[in-house]
Amino acid sequence: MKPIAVISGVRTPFAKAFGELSGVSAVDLGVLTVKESLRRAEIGSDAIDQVILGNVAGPADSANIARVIALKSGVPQDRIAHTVNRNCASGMESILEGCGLIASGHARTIIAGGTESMSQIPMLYSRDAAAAWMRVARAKTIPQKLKAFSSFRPKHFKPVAGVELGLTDPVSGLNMGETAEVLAKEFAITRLDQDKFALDSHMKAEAAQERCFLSGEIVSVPIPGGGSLDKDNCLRKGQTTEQLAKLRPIFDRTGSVTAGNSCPLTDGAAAVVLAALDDCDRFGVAPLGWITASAIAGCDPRRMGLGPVYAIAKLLRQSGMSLDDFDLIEINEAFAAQVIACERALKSKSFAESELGIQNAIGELDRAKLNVHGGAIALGHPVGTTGTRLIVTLMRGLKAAGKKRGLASLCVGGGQGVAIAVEVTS
Amino acid sequence: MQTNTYESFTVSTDVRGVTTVAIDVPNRPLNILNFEVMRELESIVRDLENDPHCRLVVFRSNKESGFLAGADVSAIANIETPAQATVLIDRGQQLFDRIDWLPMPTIAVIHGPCLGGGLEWSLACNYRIVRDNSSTKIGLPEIKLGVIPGWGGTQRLPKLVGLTNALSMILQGTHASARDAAKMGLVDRAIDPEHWDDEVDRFIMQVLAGEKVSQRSRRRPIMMRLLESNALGRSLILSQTEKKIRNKVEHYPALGAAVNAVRASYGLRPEGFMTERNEFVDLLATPTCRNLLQLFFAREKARNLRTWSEDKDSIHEAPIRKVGVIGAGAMGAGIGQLALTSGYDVVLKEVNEEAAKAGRERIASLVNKYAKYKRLPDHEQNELMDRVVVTTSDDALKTVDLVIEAVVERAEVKDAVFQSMDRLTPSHTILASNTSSLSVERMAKSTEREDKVAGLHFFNPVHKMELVEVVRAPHTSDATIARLIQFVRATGKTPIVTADAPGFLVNRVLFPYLGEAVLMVAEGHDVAMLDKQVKRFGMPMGPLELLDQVGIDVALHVARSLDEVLKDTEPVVDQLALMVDRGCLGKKSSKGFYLYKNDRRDGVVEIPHTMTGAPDAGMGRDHEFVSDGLTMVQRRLIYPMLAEAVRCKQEHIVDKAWAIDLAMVLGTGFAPHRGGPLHTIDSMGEQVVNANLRMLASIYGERFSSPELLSEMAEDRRMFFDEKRPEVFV
Repeated sequence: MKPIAVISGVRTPFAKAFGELSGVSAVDLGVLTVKESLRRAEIGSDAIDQVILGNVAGPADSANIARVIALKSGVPQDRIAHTVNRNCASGMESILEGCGLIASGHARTIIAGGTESMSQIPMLYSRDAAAAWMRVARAKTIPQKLKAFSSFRPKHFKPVAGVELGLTDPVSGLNMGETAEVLAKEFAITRLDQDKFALDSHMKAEAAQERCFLSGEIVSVPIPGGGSLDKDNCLRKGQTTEQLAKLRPIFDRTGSVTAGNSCPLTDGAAAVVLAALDDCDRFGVAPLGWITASAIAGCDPRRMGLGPVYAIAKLLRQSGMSLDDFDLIEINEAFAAQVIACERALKSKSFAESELGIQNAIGELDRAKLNVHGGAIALGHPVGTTGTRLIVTLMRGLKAAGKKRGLASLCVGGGQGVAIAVEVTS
Repeated sequence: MQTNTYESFTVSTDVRGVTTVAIDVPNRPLNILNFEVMRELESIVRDLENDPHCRLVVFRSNKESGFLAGADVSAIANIETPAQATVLIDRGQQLFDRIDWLPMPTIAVIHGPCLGGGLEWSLACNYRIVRDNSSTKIGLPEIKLGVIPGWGGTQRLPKLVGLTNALSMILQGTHASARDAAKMGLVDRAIDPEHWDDEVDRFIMQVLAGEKVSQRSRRRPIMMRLLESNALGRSLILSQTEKKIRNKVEHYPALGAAVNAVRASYGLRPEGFMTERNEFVDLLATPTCRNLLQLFFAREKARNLRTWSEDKDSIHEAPIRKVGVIGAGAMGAGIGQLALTSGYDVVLKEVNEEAAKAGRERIASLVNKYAKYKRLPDHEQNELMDRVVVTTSDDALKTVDLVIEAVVERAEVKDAVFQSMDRLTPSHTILASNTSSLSVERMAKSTEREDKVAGLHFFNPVHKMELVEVVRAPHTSDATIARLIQFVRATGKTPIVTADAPGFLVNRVLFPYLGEAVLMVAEGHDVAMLDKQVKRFGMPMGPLELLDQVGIDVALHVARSLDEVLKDTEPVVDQLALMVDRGCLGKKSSKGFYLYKNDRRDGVVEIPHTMTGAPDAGMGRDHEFVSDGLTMVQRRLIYPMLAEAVRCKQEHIVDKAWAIDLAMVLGTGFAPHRGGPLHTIDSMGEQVVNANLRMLASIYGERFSSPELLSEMAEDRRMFFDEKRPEVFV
C-alpha cells in the first residue's frame, strides 16, 4: 500500500453520554471538527474533494450525516460526501476509504473522521406500538379513530432503548458486555486483572490530561445555554481499586465486567485531512504522519473482542512486520477483559495454531507501549468516532516520544477487527 | 376381519366395526415413538379418518412389556436447532390432534408403562382403561430430562384430572399406579388382571352401545373442584405453585416452563399449544436439559454389559442364582433384601446366634417395608421370606454362586473372611467385598482364586442408592466383571467399574470436599452457612449434614484410610477425632455437627475448634478469581471435588469421563442439572477452573493444586465432552 499522509487531525472532547454534550447533535460535533481540521491543515474548504465520516447511530434527521456536516462546514456543494458504518471501527473505515480513493487517484484531498452522539440515540417504539399508531393515522371517521385508539395497551407505551439495541449483536444474541464476559471466562481473566487495567487506563489518561497532551488534539465545544467543554470528562480522578471492586457486574450477575472496567457511552467527533504523500507541499504544515498498512478481519461474533488479534495477525502477515517493530500500540479499550484477552491470545501458541493457522504466537504485547495516554475506559468510546481518535492520538504520541512506528486496532461488534499501521517523522 | 400390517403396527377391524391398532416396535424391548413409528401412525390415522366401516378405535400394545415408554430420547437429543425442535413438536401435536378429532370413539387400552408421549397419545383418546397390577405406571417424566411434555400433555392433562393433580404429575414427573390414576380420573377403569380380557371387551361393548361409562369429573374432592372451576381459584393455585418452585427454577427452568404451559391451557386452545411448543423448544437449548440428557445416556451406557466387559458368554455359562452375604448388619441386610426382592435366593451368615437373630429381624423388617411399599399380598411376602436364610452355619455357603462380604472394615478381619469363603464355596463362586476403602487386591491374595475376587461397593441405604461400584482388582477376570455387572443390573442398580485404589471413585472424590468442610468448621466458619451455600450450588444436602448422616466415626475411618492418596488430611482427622472423643458421632448419637431431636435437626452443636485463630485467608480476595458463578465458600468446597474427579480420570481410576460424572450424580447427588463434576468444569471452562485452582493453591496450600490433566487441557483448549452431541461419549 502506498503511504497516505494525515495532514492534520482534531477531535472534540469526549463527554459521557447524557452529560454536558447531550444537547449537541452529532451534526454539530462533526461540523466543529471538520472546520478545525481544515484550519489546522491551513487550507480552505474548497480544497476538499470528498468528505467521508463514520457514524453508527444514524440520526433520523440526517440520513447521510457526512453530507449534512460537509455542507454546514462550508464545503462546496459540488464536493461529494458519504457516511460509512463498520460499527465500532467506522472512524477507521472512513480513513481507510479515503486512503483508497487517494491512492487510486479518485481524489486528492479528503476529510475523513467520525461523529457520534450516543446521548441522542432515540428511544424507539415497539413494532406493535408502531402498528397501533399507524391504525390511528389511517382511521378516517371518529368511531374508527376511537376503535384504533382502544387497541392501545400499556405495553405499547414502553419505549425500547435504541442504544441497547445497537449494542446487541442480533446474530449471536449477546450484547457487547456479554461478549466480554465470554472472553473473561475463556481466558481466565479475574475481576482484579480487569479492575487494575481500568485503573491504569484512568491514571495514564489523567497524567496525559495534566501535561496537556490531550488538549493538543481537542477543539472546545460551545454548549447550548452557555459555557463550553474543552476536556474529556469521562475520567474518574483519584479512583482506587477498592472503589472499582465495589461495583456490581452489569451483564451477568456472577460475572466480572462492571461499569468501572468497561468504556462508557460517549459523545464526540473527530476528523483528519488526508492527502497523498508526494502531494503535501500544498499545506502550510508538516503532516502528522502517514498510514502505511491496514487489515480488516472477521471472527466469531460471540468473541468480537478478539477482533484486533485477527486483524493484527493479518496485518503482520501482509506487511511482513512483527509486533516488536512498533514503538507504540493502541488497542481500543471497549472492555478491560477484552483487551487483556487480546493480550493473552497474542502471546498464546495454541491460539495461534488453532485460530490463526500459524505456527508461533504473534508475540508479547508490551504494556509499556500499550495505550500510553489511556484508552476508552477512561476517555470514552463514541462508536463512530473512536477509530479516528486512535490514529490521531497514536501519531501525536509517537511524535511526542520521538518514536517512529505505531499500530492501532479496534474490535468491532458483530465480530470483526481492524488494524492500521502508521509512521511519523520525528 | 381384515388386517393391515405395518413395521410397528397391526391394524385389524372386526365385524362389529371395532378397529384395533396394536403397536409393537420391532427390535425394542419397550415400545417407543420415533420418527418411523410416528409416520406409520400418521398414515393409520389418515385411513381411519375416512373409514366408513369403523365404529370405534382401540389403541393397544402387542408387547407384554407395556404400552409405550415415551418418545425416543436420542431423537430429542439429536436436535440441534430450534427449528428442528419446532418441527418435532408440531408433528406430534398435529398427530395427536387428529386422533383427538377422529369421528369415532377411541379407547387406549393400557398395560405396563404408559409414559411421556405414550400418555399424551392416550390423553388424545376418548377413553383410557388400564390393567391394575404393579407393572402399570402412568406418568409424564419429561421434567426429569429438563423438558416438559410437548405433545399436548400440558394442555390435555389439566382438563382431565384438574389443575392440582396435573401440576403435581408434570412438575414431579412421578408415575401413578393404575388405582391412583383411576382415583384422580386419569383413566376410566382400572381392571383386575384376572378378568382383563373380558372386562376390556365389556367396556368396548358399552361404548359401542352408547352407554355412559365415565364418571371422571366426579371423582375429585369437591373443594378442589370448586377452587379449580374458576379463574381466580386457578390463579391462586398457580401462584402458590410458582412460589414453591421459586428456588429451583434457576437450576431447573423446566419447572417454570411447565407452569406457564399449564396456565396457558386455560386460555385459547391454539395459544395453549403454542405456549407448550415454545417452552419446549426453549428448554431444549438450556444447559440443564443438555446435562440431564447426557446423564440419561450415561446411565443407559453404564447398564450395558458391553461397556464394561468383552465377555458375553460367562453370564449364561455360570449364572448367579443364589447369593450369600457375610454379616447381617445394616449393609449386609440391605444387600440381602435387595438380592431377595430381585429374585435371588439369599443366605445371610452371621458369627453367632445372637447376631443372627438380630439379622433375621432386620431383614424381616426390610422385606416388610418393601412389601408395604409394593402393596404385595401376604402370601407373596411369605414366599419372599421363604427364600432367605439367616444362619451361623458354614454349610449354607456351599451352594451359593456369589458371596458378598459386609463385615467390619478391618483388613485382618477381611483376610480371614476371604480365606474361609475360599475354603467353603464351590470353585465357580465369586467372592466380593462391600468394602468402601480397603484394598481388594489384598483380600484376593488370601484366596486361591484371585480372578474371581472383586469389590462390590453398595451405598447406604442400599434400597435407595442406585449406584454400585464394581471394583476390578489387578487379577479380576473379565468373566467375573461380566457376571457381577449382570447381577447389579438384575437388582435394578447402575454399575460403574473402578480400579482398586483407596476410596475407589465416589468416596475419593467426595472426601476432599467433606474434608475441606470439616477444616472450615475447624477454622470457625458457621456450619449452617456452609451447608446452605453448597445447597445453593445444587447439592441435595450440605457436606456437614451428609457427614452427620454417614457418621463422624465412619468418616474418621475413611479419612485415615485415604491418608496416602490425599494431601493435608491431618487437620481433618484431628477435628473428626476430637468430635468422636466427645461423643459427637452424627445423627445416630443425636449430635454431630448439628443437634438432633426425634431424628430432626434441632440447632447446631457448639463444636470445639482445633484451629481457632486461623481466619480464612481467602475472604475478601474474591476479585482475584476468574468469575465462575461461585462464591468464595462454594469455591473452597466444590473445587476440591472437581480437581479430584479430574485426578481420578488422569489416574484411570475410571477411564471414561461420562462414567465419573454419572457415578458422582448417582452416588452423591452431585447437582444433576450441572451434569456432574467434569461437566461442571466444561461449563465453567477448563481455563477458568485451572486458573482458580492455582489461586486457591496459593492461598490455601497444595491440596488445591491443579491436576496435570486439567492444566494440559486448559493449555490446549480441550474439553471433556462434546456439548452439542449429548449421546456421543468421549
